Amino acid sequence: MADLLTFIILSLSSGIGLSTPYLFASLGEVIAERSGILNLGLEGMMLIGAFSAFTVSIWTKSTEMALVTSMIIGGALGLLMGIMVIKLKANQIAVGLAIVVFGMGITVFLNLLWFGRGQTTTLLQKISIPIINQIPIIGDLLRQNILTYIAIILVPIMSIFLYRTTIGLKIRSVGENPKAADSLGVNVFKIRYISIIIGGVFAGLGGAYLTLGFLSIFMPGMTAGMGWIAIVVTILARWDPKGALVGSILFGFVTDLTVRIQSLGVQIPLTILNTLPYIVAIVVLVIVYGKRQPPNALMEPYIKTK
Amino acid sequence: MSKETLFKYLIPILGIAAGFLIFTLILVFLINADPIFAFGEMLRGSLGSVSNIAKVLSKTATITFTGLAALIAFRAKYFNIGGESQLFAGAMISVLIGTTLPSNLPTPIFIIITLLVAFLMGAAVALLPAFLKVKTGANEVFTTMMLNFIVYYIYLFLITGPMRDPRSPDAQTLPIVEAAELPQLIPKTVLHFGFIFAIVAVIVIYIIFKKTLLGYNIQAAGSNVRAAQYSGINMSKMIITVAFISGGLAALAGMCEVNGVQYLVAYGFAPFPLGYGYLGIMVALTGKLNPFGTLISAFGLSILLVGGKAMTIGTNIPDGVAEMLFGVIILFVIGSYIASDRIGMRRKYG
Repeated sequence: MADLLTFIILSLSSGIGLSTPYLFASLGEVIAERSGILNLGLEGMMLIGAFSAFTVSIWTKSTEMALVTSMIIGGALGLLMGIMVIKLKANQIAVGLAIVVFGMGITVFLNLLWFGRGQTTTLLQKISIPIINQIPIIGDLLRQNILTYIAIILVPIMSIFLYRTTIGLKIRSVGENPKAADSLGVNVFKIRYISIIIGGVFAGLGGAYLTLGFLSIFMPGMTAGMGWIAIVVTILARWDPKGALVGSILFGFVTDLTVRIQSLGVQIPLTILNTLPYIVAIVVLVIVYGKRQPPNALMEPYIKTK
Repeated sequence: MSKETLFKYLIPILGIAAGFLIFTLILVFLINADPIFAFGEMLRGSLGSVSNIAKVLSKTATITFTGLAALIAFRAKYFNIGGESQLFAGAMISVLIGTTLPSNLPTPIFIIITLLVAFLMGAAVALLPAFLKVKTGANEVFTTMMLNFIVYYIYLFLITGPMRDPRSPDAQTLPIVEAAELPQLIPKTVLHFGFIFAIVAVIVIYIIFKKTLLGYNIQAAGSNVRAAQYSGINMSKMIITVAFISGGLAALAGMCEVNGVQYLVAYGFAPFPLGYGYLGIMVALTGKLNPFGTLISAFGLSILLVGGKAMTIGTNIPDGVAEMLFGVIILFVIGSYIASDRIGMRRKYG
């Protein structure tokens, strides 16, 4: 019985930790998609974020510098995506995929060039919050590193940002009806640039969690589909920051579970077990989808008519 | 050649050149590589010998199929990005046929059966998200993407479990029988008959869009849903049809790899999650959703992939260059198309 409890607490705790990259990426994606941009480049942005955080952490030994760099580079990639799809009105799927390919290539390349193999960085410390850490179970669950706390705190902040601020209103309006927003004097292009840059910054942070908060090494392709799942989390969340929290924890937990069930010696082939998150995603997607449609102008470039 | 057509071709070429230029700067400033030698290695490794050209063309065949799959779907604005899942499904069924049917069947029979069944298998995988879209409205971008992962893990399960060659130390299937292999076009190279199939597919798709009602309807459904509905096009039927053809074509890419190149399916059979399916989408889009444009882009990409590999072997340049170069070029080419369209518009309307 005690074993079972420990097991549950352990897997919940590491599930919450593992939900961090999903949460960062999907919070950013919520903002981007609400403004009308489907950022399929998440996987590439996360990879580059992971790698740049890793690199700077090794070079400067400063975690703060590493985090800031991953944010700046993520933001720059968001800007690049923005220029392609907002200014040049390119197909969002094509640009997103190009960024993923580019991200995979450049991280493999620079990693071999600069580090070869076997470099490790120091992991972020796990922090327990005073008072809360006295509470049984909950205290155990909330022993995460700083990035996890930032991600969780970002949920209400992004909620307020999206629903209670003028700029949030503008973001939602350019994603639903850019023409109407434009006629009311909203600068559609500017708002979309802001949104996609936020998306990039968060994706960079989500990647940084993988190298600074989870593995302490960089492996090519280490995001392993997390960017794609973050996009699904965004849909499950119905384009809402609070939903992103629920979806991320669900996937963080399922991801952890697929590893943990193995360690228990349950006789299910790992490969079959690995399909679990995706099957869950499709099923939830089908259930959720009819009830809430995506932002109206998602994937539609805005062309200003004179 | 009029000035407009000149612009139309010149600007994308400038885009490619700009991509190469940026890449050259990276080579020179980051790794002090000699760019002339590096690009020389790339050219030699891709077009320098008959066997290297064969490698390029055989890759072209594979990517052309996934490219055409993306082309037909994207023309209808049905964004099937499940090329990977359909490719793996096609590959697995091709192996199954090539290892279970009696080995004394003549090669043409083998090829025809494999071609048909692989096509249907890929189509079946593509139909699931299409039905979900028609019935529940679930967006195909996400369902096809998730299905990629599901089918990938099923593939891993099959090659490590039920379909594993028991005598092999590695996770791989039995090899297909010799009669099931696609004949080589140039002996002792990897260039196989599938390349002819790919060319035929390019022409067929071209004719479908140029001459048939189906092509016209797909185009209409893709350009204006409401207008298409008013003119009596059944959108649900359109989505199902498009998904069927698209999935089937992507599966043929898998069949080409199995019956033409690898003869079995092993671990690492095709790159994943960013494999031929995604590359197909990109060649279709850089080919401006034109079948011949797709073929040409697929050829260009194959040169980059095969030559990029040779470049990393022949020089001190690390792996990953081909992907990086390709990503940069794609961004420039897409950007240049839009620039050239704008110049064209300005010339037309002043």
